[in-house]
Amino acid sequence: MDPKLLEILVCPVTKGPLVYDREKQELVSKAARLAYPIRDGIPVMLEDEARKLTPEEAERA
Amino acid sequence: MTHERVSDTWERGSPYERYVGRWSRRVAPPFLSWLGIPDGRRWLDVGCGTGALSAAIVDRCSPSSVAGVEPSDGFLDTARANLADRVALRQGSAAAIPFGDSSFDAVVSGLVLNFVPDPRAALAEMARVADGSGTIGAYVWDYAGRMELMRHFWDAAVELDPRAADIDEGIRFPLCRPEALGKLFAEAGLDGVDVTAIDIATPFASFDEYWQPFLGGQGPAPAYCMSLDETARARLRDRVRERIPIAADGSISLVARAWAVRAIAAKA
Repeated sequence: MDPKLLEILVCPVTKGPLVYDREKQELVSKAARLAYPIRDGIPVMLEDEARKLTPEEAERA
Repeated sequence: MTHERVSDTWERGSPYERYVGRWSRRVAPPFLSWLGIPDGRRWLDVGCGTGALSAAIVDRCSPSSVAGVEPSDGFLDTARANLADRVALRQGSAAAIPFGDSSFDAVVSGLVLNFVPDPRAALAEMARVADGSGTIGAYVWDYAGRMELMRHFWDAAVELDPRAADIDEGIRFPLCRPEALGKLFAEAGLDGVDVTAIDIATPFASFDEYWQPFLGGQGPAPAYCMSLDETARARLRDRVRERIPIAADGSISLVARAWAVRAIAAKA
């Protein structure tokens, strides 16, 4: 992904920052406790499609 | 100049393409000329669909970057096939744009605003992600007026079957009028709101060439057309033919008008 565009990508719910989890191919919003999947190279920035972080993950994130 | 480079890879065969996709794509170049954004700017295409407007931005505007946001999987698949390496595609909604404040110099949207459930929320988001002096622009078909290939169809359809009015985009999309578009932009707190008509020619060699795309089933008018039984469909075809201006050589020259609107984000 273009690093410049990744930099300005935010959580659509909180408009807060995202952390890229390369292994899981997810963009993690700690504030929203959501992980947005990256499918076929396209970040899916829809609240309904995001995975809820487990309490442990939210803790660590 | 290689303006058609990206567009040529479009799926030319699809029924939707034959009905209106081919005309939709022609609105993007004059819209971009009207915006007059200098080279080297950061662009965002909101509701980028299959990527027609994004492709035109890449081809004509020498952007430093182009991002596209689109909620639909199907459209994104096509967009990715056509321009994955040139446009940063993100699946997302116009009402919750996944980009930070003031991230773009130009935020645009083509033939989308009337389909968005909450256009005011979309405008607020487009303004938020636009830079302080950034441009926000959009266009929609003039469904109620001079989107003539649809207008003739619906005017004939409603004459024969008043229930067709429930499907007529001219009635369903009151936003697609110059006053309503200007108001939407002004009420979003934008400056220098300007609305213009963009007319493109939609020529048909014969009435049959005009009518065939309505039998493809994709899009509201073709879907309505194919929902009729054969007798009713023939009656509708004849009524449309009576209404439409046909030249001596059998050709039909119609106009498809889009209303375009632009404004400046004007943040403190």
